[in-house]
Amino acid sequence: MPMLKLSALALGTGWFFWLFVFGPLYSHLPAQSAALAVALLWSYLRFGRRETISLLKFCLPFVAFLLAFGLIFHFTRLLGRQDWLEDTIVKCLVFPSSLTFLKIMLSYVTYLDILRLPLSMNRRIDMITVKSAFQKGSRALKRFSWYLNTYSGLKSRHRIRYAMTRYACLIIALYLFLYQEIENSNRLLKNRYRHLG
Amino acid sequence: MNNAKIALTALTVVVALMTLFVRIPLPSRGYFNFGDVAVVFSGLVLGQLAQNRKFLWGAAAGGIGSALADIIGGFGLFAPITLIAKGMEGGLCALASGRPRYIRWAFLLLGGVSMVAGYFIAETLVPSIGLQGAVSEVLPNLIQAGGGIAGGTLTYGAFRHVAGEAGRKGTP
Repeated sequence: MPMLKLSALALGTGWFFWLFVFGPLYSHLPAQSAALAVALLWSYLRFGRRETISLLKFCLPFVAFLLAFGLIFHFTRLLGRQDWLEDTIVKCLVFPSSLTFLKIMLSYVTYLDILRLPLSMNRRIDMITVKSAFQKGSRALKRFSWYLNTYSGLKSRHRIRYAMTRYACLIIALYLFLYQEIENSNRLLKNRYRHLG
Repeated sequence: MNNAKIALTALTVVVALMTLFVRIPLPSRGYFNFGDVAVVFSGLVLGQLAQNRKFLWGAAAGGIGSALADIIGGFGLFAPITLIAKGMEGGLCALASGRPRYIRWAFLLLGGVSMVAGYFIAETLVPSIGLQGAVSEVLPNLIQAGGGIAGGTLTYGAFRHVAGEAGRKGTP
């Protein structure tokens, strides 16, 4: 049963990405808008209003960047291309919809499903660890970014230097955090399996 | 999971998230990002941790993490190219780790050049990008590669300071 469920989820994800990210509907604006609307509605029903808004907030800086540069390229007619705005709008739609869709699909893969897979216990524990690492990583990045914004010792008059230092700090903090989390959860799960059965 | 596997998992997540963190679209339909800093950092850390097949460890973190970011971020067309180009960069950075200074810099530079060359060759072959798009992306890619090498090396230096090089190498 879990194999069937995971196969269906993998097929669904593959189908979505083939259709909207890689394939025939990539540059089809109405289809991309519909995909985003469906993904957001699904997210609202599955995670609630707060989580959906927070997901959109996460996408906002990227979308704003894409849009700003897309507009600049469009008005300067860079490389003689006329389709900058269209191309940018598609990307602005694809990013939140693919992210939301992937998040929804992954939320259906429960730890219990992984535990019931016909694999060795060590392999299943590794899979659980990887799943939890991705979940914790995205949450931790937001938190660390916020902490670093409040840290006055890091601030510099040179904006580029400040941005680079902040970026480097984020990489180190995220790596140290994830390393400890993965090590601990892997050790705990293996101990539980060995001693509690 | 041994130390290298734990580090590989953590660094793949770090590369994917940091690539998605700042993105600026490029004329060739790709995007400029600072994920290379994380790719170089990952390569250097995994090069220290892995006992053998250093290239594969570095390539896995850099390639898979960056390709994941492309897929999630709506630039799925680039994912296969990224997997190879960033994989080469990460792998060569892993080979650079722990070598004498000049050889290390040579490997790091080779990693950056292989990334730029990889994107150039692959984009030339993609009909929707072509030679025009590929040429327009060379300069941003060179800046990205240079920034990645400089930022990644500095980040790795700071990390070694934090983690304490003696004894535990790439592990915190």
